[in-house]
Formats: sequence, structure tokens, C-alpha cells
Amino acid sequence: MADPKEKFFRHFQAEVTLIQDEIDSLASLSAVGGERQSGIDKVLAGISRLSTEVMDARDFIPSYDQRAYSQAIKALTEKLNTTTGKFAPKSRFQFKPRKADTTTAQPQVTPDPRLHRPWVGDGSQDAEDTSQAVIEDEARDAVGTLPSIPSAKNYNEELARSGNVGGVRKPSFSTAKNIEISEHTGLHIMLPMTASRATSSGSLTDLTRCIVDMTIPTTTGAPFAGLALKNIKQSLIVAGQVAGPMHITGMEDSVIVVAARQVRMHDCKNVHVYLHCASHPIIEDCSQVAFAPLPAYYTNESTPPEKNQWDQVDDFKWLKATASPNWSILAEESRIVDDVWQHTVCGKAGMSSDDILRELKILTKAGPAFAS
Amino acid sequence: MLAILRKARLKDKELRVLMLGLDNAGKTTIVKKIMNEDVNTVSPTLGFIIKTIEFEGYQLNIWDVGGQKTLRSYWRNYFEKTDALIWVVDATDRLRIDDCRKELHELLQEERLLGATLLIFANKTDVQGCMSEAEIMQGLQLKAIRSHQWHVLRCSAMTGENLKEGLAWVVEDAKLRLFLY
Ligand SMILES: Nc1nc2c(ncn2[C@@H]2O[C@H](COP(=O)(O)OP(=O)(O)OP(=O)(O)O)[C@@H](O)[C@H]2O)c(=O)[nH]1
Ligand SMILES: [Mg+2]
Repeated sequence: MADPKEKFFRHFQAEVTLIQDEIDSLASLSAVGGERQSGIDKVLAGISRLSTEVMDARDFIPSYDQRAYSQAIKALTEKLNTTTGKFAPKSRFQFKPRKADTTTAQPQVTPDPRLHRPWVGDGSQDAEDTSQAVIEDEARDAVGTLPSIPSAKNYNEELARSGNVGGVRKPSFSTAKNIEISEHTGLHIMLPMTASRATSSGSLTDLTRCIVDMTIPTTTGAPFAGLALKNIKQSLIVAGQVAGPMHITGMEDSVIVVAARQVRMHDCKNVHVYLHCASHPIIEDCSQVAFAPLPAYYTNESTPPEKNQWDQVDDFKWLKATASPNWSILAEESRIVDDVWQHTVCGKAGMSSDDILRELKILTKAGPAFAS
Repeated sequence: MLAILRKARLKDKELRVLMLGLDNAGKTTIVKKIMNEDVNTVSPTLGFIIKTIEFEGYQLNIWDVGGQKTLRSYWRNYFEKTDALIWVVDATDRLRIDDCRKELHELLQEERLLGATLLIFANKTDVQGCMSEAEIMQGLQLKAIRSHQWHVLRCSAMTGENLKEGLAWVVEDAKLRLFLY
């Protein structure tokens, strides 16, 4: 039997070839319908797996070889960057993990393979973004660049800084345990498959004119245990799957799509909710809220099996027997059709997030004027 | 007078437990889990629910009152004769930990609750990245509580972890009081 070193080398070569082929075939995948994004996620997952394997093999690989392997992984990541940089007219929001104890600005040079570092996509010059992800590292922290105790890492600074140069980052959530996206304007954010490890709980706060799509990691990966939305204006939130409650506060002129166990809305105005809900959705201090069932496009085998109670709404501010004036059922002719979900919301060539929001009537040419 | 009444009821092995906390904390789910009922289709509580649980020979009458803002002003209707207060905190809800602290401390000033024991359930601890016990103690300023005997327990209404232990503590503490009076 070949020695482990050699065996690993051959395995590595085979994997690299496979991933290279996958990267090459990305261009032929359709950008709409999330097909290409799934392809990209698959490549990222492959690179990530390979990095882990290299690390796991460090016991029998000499450090020189280790470096060579790291180089190869870096090259793969760069290849992915270059390839994806060529498509996507749409800006994709991207996170970049940063070491907690880095005090100075540190442009990314050496990718930490374990974090399967971000690739640089196209720019979104006007995007103002500050974000935060709570990162806790894994117990088996082989490289040792991260502190071994759980720590929260703040991305605000870094994202603000890179915002100046117009860079867009690909979120890598391989070590994140929570998703916390906040304070963005005019961004189209699509969480990749890798984010599914961070969907234990999530929050979206202070977003204006944004599109956030979390379908991929929460339906094919792991659903959120709970999701909180706060202060969201003129946005489209495709929240995907929540195995517990979705708690919404202060949302206006927006559209939500979600499959959740509970939906709790507070201080919302002029919001359309496309919903699968296993219990009675509730509203409190809300007005002009309209409900519709989850679109067929987002319904799949991972949608919760419980009966959909999307129209059994309880209004805590209307405890009379008569119907509450604060909510209604969204008329069928006013509902966004599957074709639009499939072809526009998932990203359409040449359309900015504002263009998409306009097509959904969340924005008008003159500005916000989405009306029920 | 109140003490005597309490004592009488303890002799009947009956305890009145009031369960409060912000909306979405998981109160109803906790009760359902203890009673082995379906926890996946719980609706937010519009009003209140009373459940009787037989536990270690005691009959616990649990009052699970809705925590939505609109309902909080009705909480005081349920204070009378409360033996134990269970305050449920959503350990994943960092955004509202301040609201949670304010509501709790306001509640504890209530005269009619002064004799009650206080159990704090830090719920949803099955969720990765939730608040630690220290974070909750700090966030809720538990050390500042002088009016009540209190105890914190991390629990999960989904897995059932520590729910029975919580009830056991409530019963033990109530028994102790019987001798103190
Ligand atoms: N992961 C997880 N989810 C939980 C847990 N406990 C409750 N939940 C979820 O949290 C949501 C709120 O639970 P409820 O029991 O309705 O909360 P409540 O405190 O009764 O809320 P109100 O009736 O509005 O006061 C539900 O979607 C539950 O599934 C838990 O221990 N773990
Ligand atoms: Mg309830």
C-alpha cells in the first residue's frame, strides 16, 4: 500500500482537478434561478473540504508540502474569484472573516484556507455597508490563528473600510454561528450555502432598499431556529425557512417571504407577507399588512409539514369580534407571480437592486411608494 | 394573613405558579413540553392559559399569561396568591434583553408578588450562540435583586432540558417557606 503521504497527494490532485472543472463550468450555468449560485456554493464547499483535509493530514505531511497544498488551494480560490468576477452585474454582498485581534487594516493577502477565504466579486460602489457576524471558532482549531475561546468579532470597521474602495465580499460563514446583518442601503445580499452553519439564529436590522435572500442556506442547509427583523424599509426579505419564530419589528413598505412556525409582527406598516405559518400569525400595532400564501416557487419538500395557517391572523390591537381593519388578504391579482420570483428576484442581468424593487412595486421611479 | 393562606394551600399540596416574560420567550412551549403536547404549532398567547401539572405529589396550577405588549398591562390581574413566579427569558434575544430587564424589575416591585419565589428560565439554550448565563445575569441585572430569592436555570423547551429540574426547585423552595413562616 502506498504511504499516506503519496496517497493524500493523489487524492488532492484528483480533487483539485474536479474543482477546477467545476469552476470552468460555472459560466455555463444559468445565473437566474440560483443555479449558478448553487454551483458557486458547491465549489466553495469543495475548497473548504479540501482545506480541512489538508489540515487533518498535517500529521504526516511535511510543512513544506503543506505550504504547497495551501498554495494550490489559494490558486483555486483565485481562479474562482476571476471566474465569478466576470459574471454577475449584480452586486453580491459578501462577508469576510477577520481575526478578532487584528488591530490594523489588513487587506487580505494570504488566505486562511480553513476559512475558505472570500473571493472578490464585482464592485457595488454606492453600497454603504457595515455588518457584523458573530464568529466562534471550532474546538479543533488547527491553525491557531483564532483564539480558542468563543468570541464575537465585529465586521463593521472592515466592511466600512472596504466599502470605500468598492470591494464586495463573499460571505464565508464556515465558522460563524449567527447571522447578523445590519445597516445597509441598496444592497442585494444572497447568502451562500456555506451560511447554513450559521443559521442557528439570525437578525436583520436597519436595512433600507435592500434585497436579502436566505433561501439557499435555510432550505437546503439548516433552517433558522429563530429570526428577528428590525427597522426595515422598502426592502424585500426572502427569509427562507425558520424552524421557530420570526419576530418582526418596525418594518415598512416592504415584502417578506417566509416559511416559519410562528410569525409575530409589531409596529409594521404597509407590508406584504407571503407565508407558510404553522400557527396563527399575529400583528400588534400594525396597519396595512396583507397576507398571501407562500408562493409555489418557494414551496418544496423542506417546507414544514404542518398545516399552513397564513390567513388565521390574530390582531392583538383588535380584540373585537369584527374583522380587524389592520390586515387583509392580499388579492390574488396583486400577488407577485412565480415567474417574477424565479426570474427577477433571484437576480436578472443588468438589473440593480433598485430596479428589482421597482419591478416589485416596492419602489417607484419617484422613490418609495409601494402601496397595498 | 397572606402567609397563612399560603400555608393552608401548601398543606393541600397546591401551588399557584405564574409564568411571565416577554412575548416569544417560550412560556407556552415550556408548558406544552412538560405536558408532552405538540410544540410545533403553538400560537402566540392571546390572553392566558391555565394548566395543572401533577409534580412530586404537588398540584401546580400554572398560569401562562401572554407577553405581547398589549397584554402586559393585564399581568397584574394575575398576581394575587402567587406562590412562585417563573420568568422566562429568550436566551437568543440580545436585541430585547434591555426590555426584558425593565419588565422584570418593574414586576418585582409589585407588593403582591413579594412573598413569591423567583425562578428565571433562560430558555432556548439548545440554539447555538445563545447568551451565556453570565451574559443573562448581567443583561438582567440579577445581582441587583434584593426583594426575592431567585435562581437561574438554563433550559430548552425544545429538548426539554432542565424543565423538570425547574419545577423541582420551585416545589423545594415553596416547601422551605412552609417551615419558615
Ligand atoms: N429553539 C428553541 N425554540 C423555542 C424554545 N422555546 C420556544 N421556542 C420557540 O419560540 C417561539 C415562541 O414560543 P412561545 O411558547 O409561543 O412563546 P411565549 O412566551 O408563550 O409567547 P407569548 O405567548 O406571546 O407570550 C416558538 O416558535 C417556539 O417554537 C426552545 O427552547 N428552543
Ligand atoms: Mg404563549
